[in-house]
Amino acid sequence: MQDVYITGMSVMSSISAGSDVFWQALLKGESGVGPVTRFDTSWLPIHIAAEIKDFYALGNIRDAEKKELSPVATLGLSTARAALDQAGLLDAAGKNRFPEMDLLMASIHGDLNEYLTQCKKYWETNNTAEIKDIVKDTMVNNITFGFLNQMARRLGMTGYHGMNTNACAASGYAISLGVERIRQGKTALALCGGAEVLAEADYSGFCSLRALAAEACQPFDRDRRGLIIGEGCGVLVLESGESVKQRGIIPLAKIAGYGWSADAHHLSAPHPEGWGTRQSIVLALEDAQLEPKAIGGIIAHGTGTPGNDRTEANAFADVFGKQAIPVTAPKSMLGHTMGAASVIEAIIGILSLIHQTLPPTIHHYHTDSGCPIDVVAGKPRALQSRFCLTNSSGFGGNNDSLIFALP
Amino acid sequence: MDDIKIVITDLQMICPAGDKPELIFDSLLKGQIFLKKHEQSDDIMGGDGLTGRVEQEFKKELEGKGWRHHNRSALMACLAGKRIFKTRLSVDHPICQPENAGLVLAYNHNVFSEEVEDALAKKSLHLINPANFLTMSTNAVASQVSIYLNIQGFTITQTMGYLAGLESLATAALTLNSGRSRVVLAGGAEEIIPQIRYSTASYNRNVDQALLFSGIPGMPVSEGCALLQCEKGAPAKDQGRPARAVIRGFGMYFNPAPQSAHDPEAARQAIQKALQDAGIHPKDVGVVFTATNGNTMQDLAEARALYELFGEQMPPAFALRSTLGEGFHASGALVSALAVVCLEQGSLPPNQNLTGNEWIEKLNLSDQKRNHHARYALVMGMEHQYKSGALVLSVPTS
Repeated sequence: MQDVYITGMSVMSSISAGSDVFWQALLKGESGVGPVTRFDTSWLPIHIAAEIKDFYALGNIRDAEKKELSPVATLGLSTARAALDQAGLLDAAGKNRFPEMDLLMASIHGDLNEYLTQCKKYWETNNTAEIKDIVKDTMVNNITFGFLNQMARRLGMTGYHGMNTNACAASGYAISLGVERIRQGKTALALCGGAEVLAEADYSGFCSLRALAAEACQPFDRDRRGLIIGEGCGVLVLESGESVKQRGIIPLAKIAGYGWSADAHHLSAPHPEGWGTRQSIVLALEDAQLEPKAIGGIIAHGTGTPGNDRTEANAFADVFGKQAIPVTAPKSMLGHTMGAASVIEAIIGILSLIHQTLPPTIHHYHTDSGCPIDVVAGKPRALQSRFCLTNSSGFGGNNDSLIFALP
Repeated sequence: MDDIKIVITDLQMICPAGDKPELIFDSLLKGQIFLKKHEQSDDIMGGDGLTGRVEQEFKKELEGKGWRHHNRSALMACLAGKRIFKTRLSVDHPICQPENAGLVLAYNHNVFSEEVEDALAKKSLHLINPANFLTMSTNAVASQVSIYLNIQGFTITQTMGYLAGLESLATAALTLNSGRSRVVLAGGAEEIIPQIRYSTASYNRNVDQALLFSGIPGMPVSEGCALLQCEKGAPAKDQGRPARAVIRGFGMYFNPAPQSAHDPEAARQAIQKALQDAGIHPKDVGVVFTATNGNTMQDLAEARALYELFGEQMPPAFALRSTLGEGFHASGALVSALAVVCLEQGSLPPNQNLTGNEWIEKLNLSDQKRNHHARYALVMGMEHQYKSGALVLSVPTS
């Protein structure tokens, strides 16, 4: 079985773009949360989100592409190019040198804004033939997996494509499937990640669920009020040990193991005893052949909702012991980037290992007594371990845990 | 040999032709067509009213559970899964325990949009029912099935257009080979919703039928669901579940080049990859289940790829969509399930809506029922002409 390494990665988020700047912003505890600018929220009870300020911040989207790409495709393509560049997989002309590599992406809804706009347009124009043609082309680009096609075309990626929509654990599943395809020799390289932009439909839906915080996301804090929706994209280049050796590249990290589970319990509420979260962590440890004590830090799902945080914290306590391992929750800074959350938190885990430091959880003042964990609150903390764990859960009870290791 | 392979041990289909595989197969053999004009439009569609019937079947059960809000694609998948597992999974279930079961479901469309659109237009949050918001989002379909059947190993929702149902079987094989699960239900589900009709309406230019290779764009929209029970051959056999078919190989290819009409590159490469993955040659393929759906460019791209590969030795081919329509994320699974039944029965249903075009003969399509025993079947999936997938299935070896 092939070992799986990470040889490139990049991120775009509400606090910054590119891994290095992103890391500095995380250490400072910067918040990407501000007033929603994408659409009118005057009719809604909540008005904040963690929006990306500049979709072209990485400077690798050409002017012609800016006119052609949808917002999610812009994020995906820009982040992917940066990750491929770091992995040494782009040629001098900026083209992907390994077109046959896998492309496994995740998003909950792709370019939903544009998709719904087109639906409305179609409906209002009373089915004329002219509008049908416009709608058809736009639909194909904006349907959930449309951005993956837009990315693949510009990156020249001809190999296996996978598009995962497993709620807020979606990009964790995309990474895990990439790991498995490399382990089983189906491919030597896989570009895995997730991208999400703010969609009015989703935002209003979360408002209807009363799941959003009005001011701040406060994971594991006794006064937490809910999550804040965010935008983001993260991409990892996964590579087999054999390919790493052949190319003579120094990997950033190794994926030691992954675990999956399904709560089979409720469409929005986590399992009351945290069975699914605990199960995916245990399976990840088994896959990595590690004892719990080997894990030095946890990048938590930590949404800031009462139910999720309590369930997750108790699952950590069950597996690792109460207050045993430092836990940090980046959604306090980045908001909940939905389909991109798992991969962005995976990148934070890898950066934490590389720098041997865990970034802080901001807005955390008093740990909830129902969350028996050691939260890295307010300022960064040293990480003295070769291993860290990232954990994700999604509506419907989708759970995914990943263990990263220094190579 | 099959002991170490991933095999299909059971399957269920729900489509405009019915909701029992054997009856569907009989109807297809008799040459029945399941496409008709939609009541409120000129669109030719398959399955109008299908999901309503499924909903009716579930009505009492749903009321009993207090499950008031649901997604009809999920109901089709729940029904198919229930018929395979018979009862909800438990620690003493005869097939497997809940944590050893997985689900890979192809599904795409967010169907909460009408309600949300209305709320956005009127700027009234009260119009959004939180329960509907939850049950109608993309991944909620697989989640509802996992809750209903108590599948606790994992659920995966994959979207990749017309070929996603086919891809779900490849993902099932991947997860079974990883040892993550013992049994995986793989397939796809899709109901006809307004958005599907919007997005594809341009293909349905008021043609009377889905005319294959006529040059007239005429892809009819349809709906349905198929789930296939996949597991490793040896343990399945030990537990009294013999293989009905073997998953031999899968290939996918995306053609990133600027698109020209009828470019066969994606289909050609996908087939070659699938054959290579299966360890077989073109001459070994005994039957082809095409992705042909009436979309002119896609059909010709596929036809050219198949003819270039097989030439005059083109094995008999069947285009299920010619009689059922295009079921999107359900199609790949429906065709794969039908391929298993055809391999078992040694018969191939007649194709429908063929027109006098050179490709009918070149692709060995026939409007007659054929008795035909094959060992290997090639099942095609096309996401327009630029992305293609191919799956190789075989009869089990004794």
